[in-house]
Amino acid sequence: MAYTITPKFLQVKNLSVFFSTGRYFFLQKKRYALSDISFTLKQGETLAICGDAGSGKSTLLQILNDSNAASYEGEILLYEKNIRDYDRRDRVSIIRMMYPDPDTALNPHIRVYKILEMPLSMNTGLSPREIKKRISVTAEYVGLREEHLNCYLHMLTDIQKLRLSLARALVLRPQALLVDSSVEKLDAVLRMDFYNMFLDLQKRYRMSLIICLNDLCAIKHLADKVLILDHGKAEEFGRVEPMIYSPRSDLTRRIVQSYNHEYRCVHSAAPAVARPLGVITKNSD
Amino acid sequence: MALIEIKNLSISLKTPNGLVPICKNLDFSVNEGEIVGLIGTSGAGKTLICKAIAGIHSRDLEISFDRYRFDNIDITGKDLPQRRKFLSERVAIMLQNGTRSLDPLMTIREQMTENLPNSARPRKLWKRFFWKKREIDILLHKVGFKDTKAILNAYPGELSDVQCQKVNIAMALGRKPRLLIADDPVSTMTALSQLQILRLIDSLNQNNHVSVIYVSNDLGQIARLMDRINMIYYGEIVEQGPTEQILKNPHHPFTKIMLDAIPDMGAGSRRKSFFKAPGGDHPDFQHPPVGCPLGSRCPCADRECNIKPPQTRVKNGFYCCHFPLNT
Repeated sequence: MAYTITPKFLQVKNLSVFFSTGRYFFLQKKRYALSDISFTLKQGETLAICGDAGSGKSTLLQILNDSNAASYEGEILLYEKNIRDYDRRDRVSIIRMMYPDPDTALNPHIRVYKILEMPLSMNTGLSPREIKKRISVTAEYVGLREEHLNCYLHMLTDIQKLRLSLARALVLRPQALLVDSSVEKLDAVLRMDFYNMFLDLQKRYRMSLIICLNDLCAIKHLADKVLILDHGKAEEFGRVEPMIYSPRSDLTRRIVQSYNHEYRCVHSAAPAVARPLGVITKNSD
Repeated sequence: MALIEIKNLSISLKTPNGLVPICKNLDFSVNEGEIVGLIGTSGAGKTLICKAIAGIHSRDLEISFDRYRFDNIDITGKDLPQRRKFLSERVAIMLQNGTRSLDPLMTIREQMTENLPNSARPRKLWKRFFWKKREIDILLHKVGFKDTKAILNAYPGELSDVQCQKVNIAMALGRKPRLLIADDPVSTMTALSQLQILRLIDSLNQNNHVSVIYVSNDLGQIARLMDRINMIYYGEIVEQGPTEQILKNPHHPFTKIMLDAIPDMGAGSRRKSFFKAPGGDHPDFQHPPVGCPLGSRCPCADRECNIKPPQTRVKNGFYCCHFPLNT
């Protein structure tokens, strides 16, 4: 399906996600997990979502992926059309999610090849030969070997499972990829390996990524825009460099400052974040 | 003076096909009042080493050592329950997920009251009334909580991860331990919250003279916190040394790989440029390689590396490599 490239790829307007609590309907209250969040993304731009545990990063991604049962107010527009008006098959080939916990997200009863084949045979009209070719290409891209395709889930290591989870997201060739904080838990070397893969996706296929990231260096390298969440509220949304060099909100300033702390000075005694504008003051967090 | 001294620690996993060795002949020591780092890739056996030291490993692991001295007391001959009882009075442990390491069915107040040792009871009679309550309040103030009442009445599920880690540190403080094992407590937080926890661990080390074993997989987060670093790869200590030496001139290629993986945020770094990282994974523990386990990921590998495993050398620092860097 061909889409014209519009500047407005994804628009989120005043999104609030809430859960109803209380046993009876007259006692029910709304508890907001996210309140009043709005941002826009162009085609091919990358958004990094930064925040602590419990700030609503995963909820936001799940709402975008339509895999969360919570009800929401506000609008999510994809190509200037409400995401609820899409047919599921169309939407799935535009936005895909890399699930953070492959053990529970993927089916352990079927082989890896079948796991990768299922979204293709359900959502596209490809012939079996094309499907086979696409699966082998995708598996090679993420770093799975031919013999892994015949394995069951429990025969793979944790890292291979994550690669499989990424392959399953990429096999439909989506326009946007949602990455939950799964990559954060890996060790430094493997994490950089994954980041390289994301960079390649951005450059070669102009794919939009929406990633949960807490590492400021990685944000600076990977992302175009940053959304900083704190307890479900958007603290700051904007381009990366202005956010780092002249932060507007108090929380962002403190995050950047703590990134300059001496514990993190590895390469030299100088602070990790260079500060051209001299906005950040020392010893004041 | 050494607080912990372990000689020839071996860990192996019991599987249906026999024993699979994970760590072989590991020598490990922590000096008093020191922060020691265990840095390695995921799946290298860092957590297993920690659990073996604290004696809380699962039953499908087999652990043996030639000598284990804790605080100049030899506990080599003690069996596991005795060793656990001995260590439980002296060692505190923090796990990666702060919320999961607390009991979800008890409030923080109940857990902290239960956790306080009776040896902390004041001698004076008039101080004994409600001493636990007062003690808990003091502990929570020490880790930086202002409104202690709200924290004490909450269940762990209601608190954030940072708050739970702080409660964990407060509970560790209450036991007055000699050693704190921090098993990657900050990896999934923002830099701000990481700094709060790291500062607490640092102050615990400075003010209360608690030695710390800090486990992490990212050298960039905590490099200057530690006094001494052990680099672990494939169940072996591949390099050991003081922090300055490891960061400035590493001998082992694996240390170099880990250092290169930390992105430099200086003014020269180009946006959207690729990171330096070798692909691939460490070999399977069930099929150990003949030569060096780093194998093809190593930038300076030669034919000799594939044939025989490297020996540990102690000349100009402690490392285990055929072709060391910077010597």
